[in-house]
Amino acid sequence: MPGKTPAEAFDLYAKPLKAVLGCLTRETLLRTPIPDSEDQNGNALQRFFFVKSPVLLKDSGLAFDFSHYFRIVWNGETSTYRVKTISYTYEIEDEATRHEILAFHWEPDSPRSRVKTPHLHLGFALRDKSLPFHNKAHIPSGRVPVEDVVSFLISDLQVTPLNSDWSAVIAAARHSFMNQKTW
Amino acid sequence: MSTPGMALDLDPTVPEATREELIAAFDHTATRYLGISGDEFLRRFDAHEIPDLNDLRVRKVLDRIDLVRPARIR
Repeated sequence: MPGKTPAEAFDLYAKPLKAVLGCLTRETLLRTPIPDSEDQNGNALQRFFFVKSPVLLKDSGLAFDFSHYFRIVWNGETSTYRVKTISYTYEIEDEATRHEILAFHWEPDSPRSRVKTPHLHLGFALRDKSLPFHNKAHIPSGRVPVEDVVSFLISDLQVTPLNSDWSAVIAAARHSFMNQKTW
Repeated sequence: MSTPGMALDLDPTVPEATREELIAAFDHTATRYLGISGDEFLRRFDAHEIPDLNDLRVRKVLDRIDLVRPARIR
């Protein structure tokens, strides 16, 4: 959703995101500009993160590692700003072993990632084991909004949400996201 | 496309991390996955003393190194 100012565009992007993550954790979501990351127009890359990441997920034995990069960009055609997602990694770990179970990655510009398209990793924790959850669990694929991952954690992996209206929070955030996504 | 007025004064919905929070985040990750401090990880990294940079737990720490050092551009 575009904004008339960078702050407005950021607010429209960040508020639903923060609300969705708030269904899982009370950790404070922070952001930081990445030094020396300005694009040709001077827009710094920024990162959302939690200090104590991965965050523990209630009643599940799971932990969630969240990393999300974005830029605020100017659209000269509409004279508005919008927030553009640059990359993400959403990873689900077994808290006891600290082994990764599932990882949703999209890092098209990362020099360390050979695969530039969105993808899902079945993690180390699954090697030589039967699945630690029902084999009919609906694993999202393609480019995955974090709203879908949070919904998956609660609905399929039995994470206890921290607020009773989690479904409405996610639905509202998904609606906002669908209105502003460019893919 | 040029971007006017990019001196950002963003909504405090998601606050910008302090230097101390960035260091704490990196330290937390290094301690969780490798059992060493963030400073010690950086020392070993600079000295090429980390044997396998593709080890999954090392990569977890490297994924957060841009919190404390200029970035690899993503």
